[in-house]
Amino acid sequence: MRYLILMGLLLTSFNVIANPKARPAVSTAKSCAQWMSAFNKYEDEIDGDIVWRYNRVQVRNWDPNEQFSGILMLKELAGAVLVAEYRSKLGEVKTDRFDMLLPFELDARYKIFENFKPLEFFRFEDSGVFTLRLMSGQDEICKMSGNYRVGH
Amino acid sequence: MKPLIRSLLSVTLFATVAAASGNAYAQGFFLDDLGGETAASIDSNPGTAVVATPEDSITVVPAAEPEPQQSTASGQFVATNNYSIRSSKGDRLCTVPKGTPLAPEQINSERDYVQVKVNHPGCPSDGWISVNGLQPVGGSGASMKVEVEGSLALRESPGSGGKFECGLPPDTSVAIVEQKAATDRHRAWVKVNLENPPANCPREGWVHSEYLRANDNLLASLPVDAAAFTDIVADDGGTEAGFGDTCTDCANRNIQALKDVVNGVTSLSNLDSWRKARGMVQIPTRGSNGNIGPCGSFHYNPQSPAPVKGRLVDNYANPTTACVMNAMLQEWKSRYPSTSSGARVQWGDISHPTASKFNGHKSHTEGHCIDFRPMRNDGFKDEALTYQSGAYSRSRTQEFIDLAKSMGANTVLFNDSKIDGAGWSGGHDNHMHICFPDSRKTRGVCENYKYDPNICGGN
Repeated sequence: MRYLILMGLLLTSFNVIANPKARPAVSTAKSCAQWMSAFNKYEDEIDGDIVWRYNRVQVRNWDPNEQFSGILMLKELAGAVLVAEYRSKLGEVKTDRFDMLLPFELDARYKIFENFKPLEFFRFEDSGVFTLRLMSGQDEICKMSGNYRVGH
Repeated sequence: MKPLIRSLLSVTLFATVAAASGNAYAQGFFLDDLGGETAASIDSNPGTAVVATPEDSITVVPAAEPEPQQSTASGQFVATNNYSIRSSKGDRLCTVPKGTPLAPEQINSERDYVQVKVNHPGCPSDGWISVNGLQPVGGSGASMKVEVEGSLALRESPGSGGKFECGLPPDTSVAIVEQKAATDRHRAWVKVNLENPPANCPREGWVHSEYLRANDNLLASLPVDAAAFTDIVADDGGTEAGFGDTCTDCANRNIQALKDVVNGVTSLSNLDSWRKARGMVQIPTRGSNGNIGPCGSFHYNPQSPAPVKGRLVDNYANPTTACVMNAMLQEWKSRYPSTSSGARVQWGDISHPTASKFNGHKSHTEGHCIDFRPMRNDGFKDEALTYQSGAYSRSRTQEFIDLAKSMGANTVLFNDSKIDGAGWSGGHDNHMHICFPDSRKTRGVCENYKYDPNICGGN
């Protein structure tokens, strides 16, 4: 009997490890934009003091007039990875993974993909499309896409 | 009249410095150093200016007993850069290279074009040139005064390495007695004679010409040709300069006009501290990120392109454009004072200090065009906005465009078809592209603009 119980626990553990779908408990109640969002971090003058502020922004495009400072993720989602992909109209493909998550200094509810620097990633000569995927293991939790455009 | 001449001289002198510095921004050229870094940049980087003056220096012998008004017309001028010579109707006749001697004959009633005698192959014997194209190089008319905050270094020899003799206080009267040739690495320096030297100062020495202003109106005695240039607007992309991308003499008299407007105001508004490059001025911002603009405005995406040596590179404007922009910001803030309002002006790319094209822009070359975000109907937010967005305010955006046009904007691109007075162009769903040429109208706005600290609140 004791062996059967141990065997059952072992198999259960094995299942957890082998089946990625069993790993993160991602609530389906939250929308993509709630799990992940772009943000702009900026300075403003408030009552005579210059302070840092931020606001979450919708990802649509990337051009000189439409940019964002980085990607935030709800802190309760541990172990996620951001996958950024760019496909130019001429066929160039660039894919990077970012997994360094740090607490977001301006809002304790979020973590920031610290090593994803949009201004460094978005350096392409030709227009194209980009996709930002929030991955947890093999699961795609959220995906945001937009157009990359040169200036006008 | 006086402001015109002040402007002329400040601009021509500035143009000398700017031309001398070549890639000014990259060399750290800015006017906050009296004979130090500014001069050092020039001295070590003679640039690419080509002038046909063979002498090592031009020595000017003061006239024995000059008659003040006579000296005006006979004072020696050269072209500040490659400049167009035009007919009295504004048609281009030829181009004179930088350094070409020019003798003034008449001035138009607007006092922005001067008829000059020309001796240059391919040019008629006389023609008209913009006042911005005239640089005084001495003669009996070169009575100047020191215009600095603090003091101006008087040195034994030209260049920042010259032995420091003393500091000249503001308003010290000097007479230029020698100027280096335009090809000389010390061409921004002039030898001056001091009629009443301050204590511990010698009677002669070298100073950086940027900090000198004319005492007298050097063009005052010219007869006026009322018919000439009655309706002329500068071409060449908004400047009279002969070449656009590397234009160094785009710095026109409105630098001084701008200075008159903004000086005396705290923080952002000390024009001497404004960086200058390629004939443009850098719109000042505050904060380490560069978001806080003049008069309550917000500068979005300041870090793109990446700053150079910690300095923004997306916010250089033609002086007239900068002046009109400030006037517009003030007028707008008088209507919408709150910086937490969705009506807060948000501006982005203007022009780059060293590159005529940047961030993929094709039409942000010389500081005349500014990108603005459309107006919001909610509160302020640092976020791109298209005209399809629920937060977009068509009425406020229309009002903003109307204001820009009333202040001389000649090109407005924005893709909301329900907006009057804006053209469609790909990619302009999320911003207004507004250009202010250097025109009679914009100059008029600039000249009539008076900074109001009650509105702009020290910004």
